[in-house]
Amino acid sequence: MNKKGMINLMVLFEVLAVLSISYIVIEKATALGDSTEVLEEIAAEDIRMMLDTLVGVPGDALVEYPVNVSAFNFILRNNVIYVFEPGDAEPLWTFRTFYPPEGYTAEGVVEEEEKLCLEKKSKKILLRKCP
Amino acid sequence: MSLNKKAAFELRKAIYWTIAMVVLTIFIFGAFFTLGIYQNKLTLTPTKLRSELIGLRFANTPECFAWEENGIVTHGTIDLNKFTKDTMNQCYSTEEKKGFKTFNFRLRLESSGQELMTNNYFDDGKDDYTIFKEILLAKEGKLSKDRLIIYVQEKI
Repeated sequence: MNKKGMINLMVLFEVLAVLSISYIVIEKATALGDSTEVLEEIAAEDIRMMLDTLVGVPGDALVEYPVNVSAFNFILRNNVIYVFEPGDAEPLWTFRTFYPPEGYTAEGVVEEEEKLCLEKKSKKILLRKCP
Repeated sequence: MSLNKKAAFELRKAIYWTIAMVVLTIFIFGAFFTLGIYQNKLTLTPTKLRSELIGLRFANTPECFAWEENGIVTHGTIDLNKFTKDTMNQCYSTEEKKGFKTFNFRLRLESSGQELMTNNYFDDGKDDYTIFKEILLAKEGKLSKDRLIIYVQEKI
């Protein structure tokens, strides 16, 4: 192959490499949007905000999380909300801490249910399956 | 003569590949770094929203400062008798060791200038932002209009 052909080949290689990497990155970014890790983080954060809102509302209340959460398990204990996929080891669980006023208790478990509810009765907050 | 030309071309090729590999490596690192930032942005919640939701409790729950009479809680009120450090600690308290990594608040009643701080609030005069809440102040059984100023520290 002559020199000019070699140069063209080298430039082509560079362009192909950049295009391949760009394609991989875009595919990965698109997949991230639907990934379970991201959905877990969003769910945990949403539930934490719901807990803070419930604490700030006087009286009793029942609120439904308006998302299908059948892919996940939820545990609320010791003022921490854990979200994880069934079968995940504990170090892989996503968690968020919230700080209720003194005297409040928060507990509950929801496993692979479509709908999740938070109920406040006096100073007790319960995470449960929706009625 | 042709050998020198060939050697020169090989040298140029070597230089090209060296530069190409360096540039590609930087490009790959940059691409995956951007991906990491993108993933964080996907799960980002506005911190002002979070602090507003935490701040709801101050004037709405009897465990905090809301005025309560005969078992009836009037939300949107602050009972001056309750506006104490003990009530503040009961209302919102974070862990001693890591509490500075989350929200901390300084509350101020505009009319009287009285202030209260949460247990891990760092009093250096630097707050991230301020929330203003119109409230009714309960003092000696009477309600009057006031404003609760909430200075927020997100993380130290």
